[in-house]
This record gives sequence, structure tokens and C-alpha cells, in this order.
Amino acid sequence: MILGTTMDSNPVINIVFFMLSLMTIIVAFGVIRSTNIFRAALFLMCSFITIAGLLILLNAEFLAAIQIILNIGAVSVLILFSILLSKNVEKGNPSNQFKYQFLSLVVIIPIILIACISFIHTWIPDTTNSTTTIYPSSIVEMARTMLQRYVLPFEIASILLLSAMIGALSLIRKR
Amino acid sequence: MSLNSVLLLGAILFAIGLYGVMVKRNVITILMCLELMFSGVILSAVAFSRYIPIELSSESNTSFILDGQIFALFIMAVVAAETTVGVALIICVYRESKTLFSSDISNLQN
Repeated sequence: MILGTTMDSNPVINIVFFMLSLMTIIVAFGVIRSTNIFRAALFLMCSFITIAGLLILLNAEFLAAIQIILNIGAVSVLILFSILLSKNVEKGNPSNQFKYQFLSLVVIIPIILIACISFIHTWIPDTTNSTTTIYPSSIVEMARTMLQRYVLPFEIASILLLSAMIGALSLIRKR
Repeated sequence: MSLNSVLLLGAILFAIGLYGVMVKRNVITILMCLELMFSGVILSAVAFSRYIPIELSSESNTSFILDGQIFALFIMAVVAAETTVGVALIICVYRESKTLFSSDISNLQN
């Protein structure tokens, strides 16, 4: 029994993971701290890119591709359009200022503290050494899982996307 | 890179996004911080899918161990739907009342 966290044996993966997570946190702070909303949207795109890199590190290549196609391609463009449709973009929108800063820090800091405490004190067995043959091909296994065991939530998700699209179109329609 | 470190990163991302949701006044920025929170949750789900012991799955069938990735995929679908409807609502509200303050959009009746 080993207490504490067990690391992967490959040091390159550890270094890449550390750098990607550091970049993710810095860029997420950039989303929050920047007063220019357009710049915040660009920081959000950067955070999507780093999270796609983290997903590749976690053996989820299909999810990384979906992240790039969906979030960087579609969601960011949607947010940028909605920014450009409202005025006062260049000189920093005055509606982007803070309110209730200390009150929300009271809520946020316990979350990070609980995460750090559980990071130090928990023991979770790392079985990646014995199960290196789990993912011969992540995409094939994922398709098999999604279309056999989770086929009903898959169809419900497609209906959800269709209804969201129709709802958005009917919301912004000129009357 | 262990499960705990990925979960810590996911929790930090979730906390940063929650801070932005509570602090910001612009509705579009609140939507972007919601994206950050969803990113933390997706990372946590994928990390569980990566590091789950194979003995914990109910059978020897290897198709059971990708549940976290499937959940992350469904979360991404819900994020896409939520962003679409959210941006449509923002444009609709801005067209009506010419404001993006979350404190000004408190009148839903007319």
C-alpha cells in the first residue's frame, strides 16, 4: 500500500502535463481578469486548445478532436459573434466590472482547499502499469460502448441538440 | 500525472469558472465562465475513465471502462445546446432592452 499519489513512470508525460495544466490555469485567470471582453473570448479559445491537449494526454483522442471541432470551431465563433453584435467592444465594456468579489471568494476558496486536501490525503490505486492494453484503439471501443450500451442516451442527446437548434432559431427570429 | 492531479486541475478550473459566474456582470462573460466550469467537469470525467481499475468494472468486458468518456461526450453535447440557446437569449434580450448587464435584466414580464 502506497500512500500519496503515484505518478506515471514516464517523466516526459509528467512535464507535458504540468506545463499544459499551468497554461490552462493561467489562461483561465486571463478569462476572468481581462476587462476587454473580446480578449477574454480569445483567452477562452486558448483554454479550449490546452484542454484538448490534456484530453490527448488522457488517452481520449476522439474527445480531443470533438473539443477542437465543436468548442473552438463552433462555440467560440458563436461567442465572438454575440460579442460583436453588442457595442462597446474595443474600449472595454463598462458592464464587465466586478461585484460581490469577497463574497464569492468565500465560496471559491473552500472548493480549492477541499481539492488540495483530498489531493494530499487520498489514496487511489494507479493501475495504469498493469493495464496498458486497455486502449488498443480508444475510438473503436468508444463507438462500441456508445452504440451498444448507451444508445438510448445517444438518441436523446441528438433530440436535445435538434430541439436546441430549433429553439434558438425561433428565439432570434424577427417578428 | 496521476488521477489526483487531474482532479485537482478540474477542481481549480471549476472554481475559477464559478468565481467568474458570480463576479462578472456581463452576460456573455458569464456564459464563457460557464464554459470553463464545464471544461473542469469534462476533465474530471475523462480522468476517471482513464484511471479506473479494471477490476471495478462488473465484467471482464472491456467496453465497460469507457463510461467516463461517454459521459464527457454527453456533457459536450449539453454544452453545445446550452451555448446555442444562451447566445440566442442574449441576442434576443439585447435586441429588446439594449443592455448586457445581468443586474438590468431582471424584468421578465414585458
